[in-house]
Amino acid sequence: MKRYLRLYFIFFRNCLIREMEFRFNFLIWTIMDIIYLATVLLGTYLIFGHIQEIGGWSKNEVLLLVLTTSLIFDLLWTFFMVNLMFFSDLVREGNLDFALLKPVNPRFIVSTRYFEFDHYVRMPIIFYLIFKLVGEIGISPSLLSWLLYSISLLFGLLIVYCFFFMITTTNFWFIKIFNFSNLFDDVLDVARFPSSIYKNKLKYFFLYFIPSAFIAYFPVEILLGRRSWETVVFSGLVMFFLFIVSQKFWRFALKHYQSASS
Amino acid sequence: MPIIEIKHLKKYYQVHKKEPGLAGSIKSLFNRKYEDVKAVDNISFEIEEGELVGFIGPNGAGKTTTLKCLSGLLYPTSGGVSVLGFNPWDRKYPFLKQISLVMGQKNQLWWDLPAIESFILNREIYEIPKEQYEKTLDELTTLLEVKDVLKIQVRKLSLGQRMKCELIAALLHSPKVLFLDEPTIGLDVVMQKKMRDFIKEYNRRNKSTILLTSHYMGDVKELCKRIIIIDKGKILFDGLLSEIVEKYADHKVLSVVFSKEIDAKKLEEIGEVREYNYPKAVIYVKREVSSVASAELLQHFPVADLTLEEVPIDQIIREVFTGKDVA
Repeated sequence: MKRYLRLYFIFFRNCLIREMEFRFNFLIWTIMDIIYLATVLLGTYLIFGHIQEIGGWSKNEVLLLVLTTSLIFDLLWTFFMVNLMFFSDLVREGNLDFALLKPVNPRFIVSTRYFEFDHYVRMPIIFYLIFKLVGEIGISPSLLSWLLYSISLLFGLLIVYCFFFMITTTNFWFIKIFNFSNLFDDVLDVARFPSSIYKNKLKYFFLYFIPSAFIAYFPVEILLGRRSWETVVFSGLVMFFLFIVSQKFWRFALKHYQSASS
Repeated sequence: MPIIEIKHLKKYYQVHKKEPGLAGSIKSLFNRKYEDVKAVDNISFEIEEGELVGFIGPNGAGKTTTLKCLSGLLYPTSGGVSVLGFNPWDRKYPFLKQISLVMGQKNQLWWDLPAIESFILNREIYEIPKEQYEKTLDELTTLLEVKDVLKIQVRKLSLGQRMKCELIAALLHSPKVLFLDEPTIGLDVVMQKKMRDFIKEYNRRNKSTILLTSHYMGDVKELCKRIIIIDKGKILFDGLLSEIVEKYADHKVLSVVFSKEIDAKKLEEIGEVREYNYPKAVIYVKREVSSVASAELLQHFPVADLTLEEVPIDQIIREVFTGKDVA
């Protein structure tokens, strides 16, 4: 276990070294990131110019949802998404071999090799805004609530990772996967709004089939005091379940892997 | 106990055949025709520790597929594979720590970082003790003469330097078994020689078992005492390089340069005339009578230059591939 942590740190360090080489790139992305965040927040403001509430949620509460979604987005991109996107290239070009030849868990290498550091400036801004908003809503969540919020965020992050990892695993069969980032954006778009707006059957689809609810809806409800540790436990169980399913699927796919001809 | 053992290995791929054109594409949407490609078709061989074996064959013969089965990358369709006592497919870490597969065209080094960073990563992945790592790194970088490029970004290195670094990365953990897939492909003549010298030296020093594939005769001639010839998934020959010459070539090659025009028909009396382009000619004569034939040539024809040689190995092997009897 310690060894994997060390490896993780080395991957992290290597990527950081690489990023520092491209300073201009870093600057541009940081600016774009912040602009994008502003746009999304503005969009929410505009919607609330016309209505008072969505699915029982006030403007500030929805803003909280939007910010939490953006936070997950940043975390997901920082730690996982680049790797998953490169995966289809790896399979197509037969470069997965290098991961399979090493005495390390190949899923670990495939999922964590690359980090993206473009969001380092935006994330603290989001944290700050979340704190401010909580103050404006007028609630003061206990330390426990903040802790549960963080844990359910973490679970949500891992749930979405497993979900996308399973989609990535299908790359073994569908070599030219459909546009990944679009799917990702769509899932996040759905997560931006409270899942309570979906009625009945549709609600179940958006809650469970596409795990958007876990991304922000549940964590924010915890923060607002409407849910508590049972939801966290539930998220944890879903996470474990998804992890096992994605692992089994991954092993099944590996068995059928044929490297591209060299 | 042989270090590498392959018994009746078969690896079949399924590829789908599509008719050309739009109609064909539409048809293949509904009715896919699959065909079995027999990449490796029932091969068996054994390799002892410390051997340097050449695995040669034309493109598509099944060399790379065999190497991949040996290193655990591919799951055999049937048959048994054992390397260092392990079943490669199990991908057990103790097994992976003792082998290395180097594929000529593929890189594992991080593009934007200096090579040394990738080495450090490998040290961690293979859990190489610090002292051993330093010693091995020193040996390899000295042998390959790359000490001064370690801190330069890999993408800024020349192809030769990059390949040397790739090789180092693959050898840092001192593998007992080394699979080299086309190690000299794309390299210039000087680099090829350096690479071959290095491989020979490495085999000698570390007593590691090396199986290399190539379609460059130069690699084979210089490095391998034993060769395995494979074509269309089947083994055509497995034995010493010297044997192949004796077994397959019962002729020798007489190359002549004439000083005056001659009657080509009369040349046929000396032996089988393979080429005649005045003033040069190439005649194949049976091994036993080669000296007599040379003497006759010198006596009856105006010869400016004469060479008597073995049939080139390339030719022998080429003819083994095409199933022809050489000469």
